[in-house]
Amino acid sequence: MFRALGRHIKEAYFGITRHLAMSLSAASAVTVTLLLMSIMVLALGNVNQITMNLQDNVTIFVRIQEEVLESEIVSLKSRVEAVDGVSFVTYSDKDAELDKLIDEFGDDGYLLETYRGENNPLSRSFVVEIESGYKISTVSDAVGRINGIEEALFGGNTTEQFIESLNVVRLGGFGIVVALGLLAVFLISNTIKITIFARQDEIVIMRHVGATNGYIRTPFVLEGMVIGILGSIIPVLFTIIGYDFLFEAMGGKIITGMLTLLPVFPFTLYVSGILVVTSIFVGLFGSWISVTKNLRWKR
Amino acid sequence: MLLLQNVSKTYKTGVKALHDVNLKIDQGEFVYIIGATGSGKSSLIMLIDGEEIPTTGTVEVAGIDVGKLKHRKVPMYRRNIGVVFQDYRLLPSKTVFENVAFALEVINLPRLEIRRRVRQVLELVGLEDKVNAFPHQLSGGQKQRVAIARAIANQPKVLIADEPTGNLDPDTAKGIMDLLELINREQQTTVLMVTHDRNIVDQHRHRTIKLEAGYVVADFKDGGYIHHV
Repeated sequence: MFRALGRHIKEAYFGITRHLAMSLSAASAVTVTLLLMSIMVLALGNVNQITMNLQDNVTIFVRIQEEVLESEIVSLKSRVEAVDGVSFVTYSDKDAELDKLIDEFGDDGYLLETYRGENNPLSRSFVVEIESGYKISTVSDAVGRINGIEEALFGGNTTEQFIESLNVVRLGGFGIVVALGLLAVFLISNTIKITIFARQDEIVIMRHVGATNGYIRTPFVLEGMVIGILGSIIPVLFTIIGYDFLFEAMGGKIITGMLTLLPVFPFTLYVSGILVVTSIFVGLFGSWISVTKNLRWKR
Repeated sequence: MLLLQNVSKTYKTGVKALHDVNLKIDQGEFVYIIGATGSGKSSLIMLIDGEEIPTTGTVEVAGIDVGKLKHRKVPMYRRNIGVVFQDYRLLPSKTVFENVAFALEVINLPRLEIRRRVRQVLELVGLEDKVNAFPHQLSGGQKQRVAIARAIANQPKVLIADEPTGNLDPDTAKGIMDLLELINREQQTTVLMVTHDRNIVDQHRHRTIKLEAGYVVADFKDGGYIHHV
C-alpha cells in the first residue's frame, strides 16, 4: 500500500515536471478562477458580517397602552418575552423615556424638564431585541398583537428590505462561488485530458501489464491535486495582501462606522483555507473525471 | 493450458471476426498464428488477453474462464500473460531498466525483488549493458528485446507476441526468434506468436495455426508456412 503510494508520488512528480508547460497552464486556469473566487468570498464574508451586525442592532420599540397598570407591566413583559424570536426585553418607564428625549435634544433638553411627573405625555415602552435569523416584521407584528401593547415599531421596511437584499446578495454570491468552482473543475479536467492524451500509450501499457484502474488513476489524481495547489498560491497571496491593503485603505469600514469590514486576521486565513481546499478538490475531481473517461470499465 | 471451445466473436458493428474456433494449446508449446489481415488473429488475441468477451463458446487460460471474468478481475488475470507488440510500446521517457521495472511496479513487487528480477531478464535478453539507455538510443531489435524483457519479467504463463518481427530486418528478426525460443525452452512459457513472415515460419518450425475469414483452416503440428489450398 505505502510502497505503491511512493511510486504514485514519484509518477505524479514526473508527470508534472515532464509536462511542465501543460501543468503550468492548468495551474494558471485554476489561478484565474480562484482569484475571482477569492474576491467573491471576501465580499461575501463581509456582506455576511454586515447582515449579522444589522440584525443584531435592530430593535423593536414597543409602546405600552396608557390603560395598563404598573402592576401589570411585569406580566406584560413576560408575554412579550414569550414571543418567538424575542431575545431580550428592556422596560423603560415614562421618566426614562423623557431622559432619552432630553438627551437627544442636547443643550436645549432642559426645556423638556417641565413635562416630568404627572404631565409626562410619553408612553412607557419596551425595547425588544431580536434573535438573529428571525424576520423583524413578523416578530414586530406578533408583539403588536399582544393585549396592552399600543404599537410595535422598528426601523421600518427599509431596514428589512436592506437586510433582505443583503441576503439575496449572499445567496447569489454563494451561487457564483459554486459556479466558479465548477468552472475550475472543467478547466483543469480539460487540461489534464490533454496530458492524458499524451500519455495514452502509458495507460495502454499499464493495462497490458496488469495494472488495476485504481493504480492507473492514482498518479493522475495526485498530479491534479498538486496542480490545484500550485494554482492556489497566487490567489492566497492576493487574498491576504490584497485584503490587508484594502482594509488599511478604507480604514476598516465602508463609508459609515456601522458597516465595518472584517479584520484581516483570521478572516483572510479562513478564506485562504477555503481556496486551498477548493483547489485540492478541483484538482482531484478534474483529473478524476478525465482519467476515468480514459479507462475501460466494461468489456 | 489454453483451451478454446466453439468460440465465435461477433462485434456490435455486426462484423463476424471468429467462427466456431476450437483450439487446444498445451503448456510450453510454441505456436504460430498466421493469416491475412482481417482473418481474426487480433480478435483471437484480444479474447485470450481478456480485452474482449466471446459471443459464444468459452476461452479458458490456465484454468480460468476468461469470458466469465468480472471486469474488475481482468487486471489480475492479465498478470498471467505477457504481450509483445510490433511497435514495441516502450515508454520513451523511461530508461531500459525503468521500462522493465514498470511492469513489476504495477503489480506492486518490493523494490529489491524488482531490481533482482529486472537484472535477470535483461541478462536473458542480452541487454545487461543497456540498462540506463533510453529507448531512442536503441536499435529496433534492442527495443523489441526490452519489450520482451518487460513481457516476461513477471514470469507469465503465456507470452503473446503480435508480429514481433514485423518492423525488423531478417537478421535482427532471427535474433528475436532465437530469444523467444530460448524463453519458451528455458522457462516453459507458452508462446503464441502472430506473424506474417513466411521465412520465419519456414525456418523456425513450430506448430502453425492458420486463420482465414474467422475460421481455423489449418493446424499443422510440424509447422511450415501453409500455402493457400
